[in-house]
Order: sequence, then structure tokens, then C-alpha cells
Amino acid sequence: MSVDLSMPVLVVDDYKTMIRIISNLLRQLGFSNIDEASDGGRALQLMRSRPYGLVISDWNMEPMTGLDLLKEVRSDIKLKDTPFIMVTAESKVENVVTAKSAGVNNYIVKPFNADTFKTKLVSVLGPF
Amino acid sequence: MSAKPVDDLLKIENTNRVGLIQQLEELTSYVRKVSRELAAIGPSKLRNSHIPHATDQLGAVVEATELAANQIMDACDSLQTVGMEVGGEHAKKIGDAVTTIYEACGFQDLTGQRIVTVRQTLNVIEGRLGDLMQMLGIPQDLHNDTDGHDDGLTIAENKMLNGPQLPGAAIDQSAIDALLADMS
Repeated sequence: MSVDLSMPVLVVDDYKTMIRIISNLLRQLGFSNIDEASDGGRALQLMRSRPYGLVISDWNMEPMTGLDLLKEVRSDIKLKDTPFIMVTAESKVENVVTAKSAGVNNYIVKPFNADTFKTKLVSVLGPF
Repeated sequence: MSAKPVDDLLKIENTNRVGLIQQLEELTSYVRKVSRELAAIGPSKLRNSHIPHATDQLGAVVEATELAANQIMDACDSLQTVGMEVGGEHAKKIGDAVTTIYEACGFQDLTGQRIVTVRQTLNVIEGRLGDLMQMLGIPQDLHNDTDGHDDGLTIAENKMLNGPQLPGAAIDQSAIDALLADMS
């Protein structure tokens, strides 16, 4: 089944520059329905108000980290199957293992390029 | 004029001596208290771990911004070439945009200079902390810190907010992919 590029995608990061970069990359890939949140709490609010086909989140945010957000999503019966990609500068093995154990679908370490970004999206959503 | 009796003089001297001894004891007690309080803020860890770590991180910032700025300018060079091939009014617009980007890339120089200033300040603090510790006889060993309560850095580590790792300490995307594949 081909990927619906009009599906809502949520980008979560406390740095506006990174939100801009990721949103730009998504648009270049054909996604047109992109929402933004600058913290996990706001992201959860948005996720509980509409279904998202993909969440792309940073880790290093306060007060709710990306890991906290992931755990909240996976423990919410309505949200638990939402594809979730962590895009983060956290590059220690323990971070990757913890995120995977918490149910992350893929993990992109910053800095990343457009090719890597697309490859990871395809691995989670399927080819497009 | 009669001389003060010797006993009176001795009494005054004793009172002065007792007062002096008391003051010395108070001073000693105060210095010990200050030493304990200074030891409690974890000066060894600050000096031997946190401050050097902060300095290293700032160095990594300078390197990363320099690399990024160079990549941006390389891309600008390519755009400039395309602009010249296109020619006409478009060439001028591309050229103007590229020039603006070049100008903005000057951020790297300014941020680098500010960071150097901050690193120098941290080095001064580190040195002064060491002098103070030596003066008060606080052990310089990292493991001698008596600070038992969480500081902001410990809290961040507990939340796994390690931040970007220094070059050589980070695992790259291919290692992450392999790790995720192993865990699937």
C-alpha cells in the first residue's frame, strides 16, 4: 500500500531552526500536512485532538523529553500505534537502546542529511 | 601616682589572653565551617569534571559551526556557478542571494570569538577554584567530593539528556542502525 503523503505529520522540537529544516525536508519529499510543536506537552495535546500518521521528535526538550513523549504515546491506547521517529543529537548507546525499548520506530542522529532522513521514513512508512 | 597592683595587671592580661584565645577559636571554627561548605559544593567535581567538560563542549561547538559554515559556502559556490551559467537577471538575483548567505556565514567567526572568551573565563574559574581548594586544604581528588545531592548536571544525566557527544565518543548512524536491527 503506498504512503498517503497528505497524512498529518507532527514535528516536535524546541529549536525553531530544526523544525524549519525537518518541515522543509518533508515538503521536498511530498508531505503537505505538517504540524509543529515546540514541546512534548503541546505535542500530546495535538495528538489527542487529531490522528497523525507520523511523529518526528527531538529528545532533548524540557519539561517533557522526547523519550517521555514516546512513553506517553505508547501507553495511550488511542495513540500507541503512531509511527514515531526520534531525531536527536543523543548518540550514546544507552539512549538508542532505551528509545528502542520504549517503542521508537526509528532513530536518526543529528546531524543528518536528506538521504538518511528519507531512508528512515521509508523504513517506517513504506516506499514513497 | 601609685602603680597598679601587679595582680590587677595580671588580671587584665589574662582577660585579654582569654579574649584573644576565644577569638582565635571562633576564627578557626569559621574557617572550618567555610571549608566544609565549600567542600559541599563539590569543587573537585566542578574543577576536574564539569568545567573541563564544558570547555570541551565549547570547543566542539566551534568546530561544528566552522564545518557547517564551510559546507554552506561550498554550496554557495556551486550556486554561484549555476547563476553565471544561467546569466541575465537571474544571475544577478542568485548572486545577491549568495552574497547574503556569505555575509550571514560570518556568524561562525563571531560565535567562535565569543566562545573563546567563555572558555578563557572557565579556565580562570577552574584555576581560582584550584587555588581556593589548596588554600583551604580541600582534597583535589575527584572522588573526595562530599556533595551528595543532585545538581543540574546529574539531573540531566538521570533523564538521559547527555547532549551531543564529543567527536570520537558519539556512535554514528550506521552503528545506530545496526543496534536497532539487533534489537528487532
